[in-house]
Amino acid sequence: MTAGLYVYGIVTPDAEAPEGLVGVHDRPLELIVVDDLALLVSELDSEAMGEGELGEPEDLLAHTTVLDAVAAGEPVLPLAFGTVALDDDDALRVLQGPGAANFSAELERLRGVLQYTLLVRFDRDVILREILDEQPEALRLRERIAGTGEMETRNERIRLGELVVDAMAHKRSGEAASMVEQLEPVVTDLSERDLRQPDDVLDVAVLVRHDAVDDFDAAVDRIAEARHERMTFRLLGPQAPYDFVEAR
Amino acid sequence: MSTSVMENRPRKSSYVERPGGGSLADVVEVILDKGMVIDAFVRVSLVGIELLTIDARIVIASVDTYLRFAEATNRLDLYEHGGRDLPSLMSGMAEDGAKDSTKGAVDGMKEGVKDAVTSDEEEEEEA
Repeated sequence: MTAGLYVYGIVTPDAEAPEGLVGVHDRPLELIVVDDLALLVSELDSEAMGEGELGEPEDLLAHTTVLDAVAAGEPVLPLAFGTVALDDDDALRVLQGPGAANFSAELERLRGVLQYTLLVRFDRDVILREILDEQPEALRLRERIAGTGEMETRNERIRLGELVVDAMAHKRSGEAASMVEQLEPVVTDLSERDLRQPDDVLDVAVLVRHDAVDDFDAAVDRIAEARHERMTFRLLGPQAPYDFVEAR
Repeated sequence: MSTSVMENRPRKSSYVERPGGGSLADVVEVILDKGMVIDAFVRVSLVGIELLTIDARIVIASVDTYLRFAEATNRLDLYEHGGRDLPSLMSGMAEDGAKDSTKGAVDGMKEGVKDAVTSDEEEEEEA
């Protein structure tokens, strides 16, 4: 029993998915072709759909696994997670509407490139020790709160936390810029993402040409080797170009 | 990927973690606000996640964050590099199995997002 179509993204009509790749609910992937575009879809299983929502961790992983695998060989415009159409005809509405005229051009721009995402964070312990070393006030406040509960020393804790967060922000800004500068020569596009935690340093998505991947990897390695004592590095990819499609 | 297998293939640095697609936690970040939203469609919503989307995007500079970082600083072992003393080991294990004694104190917000979709065993802590 089908509960509709899960729509992963937009591809060209000749797109091929890797052999054996399955999608949400372990269903096979299909293409709906219209002129010079195609939709990458799979049928949803009504029993597996539960309350009519997609909420299982497997669903999230299926979404990105499919898109990342397809993107390794084809240009693809990823849709937001959870885009569901009633049937084939309903799904075609994705290809209509105001922004759709640019889909073909966007696909061509993404041909031959892969997205990678570099996540850089301060090594928390190392940076905290640095700050305690540099700021006697931080050391004093730390001694003040040692062995006390949160209620007892709430004001001192807020003051210490603010001091630490501000210090991290100050340390971060120059670092991010210098890393971006080293990435720019080996990528075709770059998109910095909002940081979420005070100890984040850089969260950046890049597009890399297939034939430049080794140079890009080497550049990331150089960046990490110079900074590994204070930071941790995590490189995701190859991925679908989640950060490089225009929101509509 | 067409790269030469022999000689000049660059050795991947051990300082960069390369998990491929990433853990479920990484995927959640992608899911939250990436990809095209087609107005014509009502997206099937991910239970609880959309409520967290707005908070998750902001670098939190709030009292809650300050308290967490103060506690992390409090727990910091000043005398060993990378070492952990016994009390912090115990509290770290009691919380969420965090490898780093300071992580448990500050990961509250992000853990809240991850917790909506993961169990502790599936969570992958960053190095």
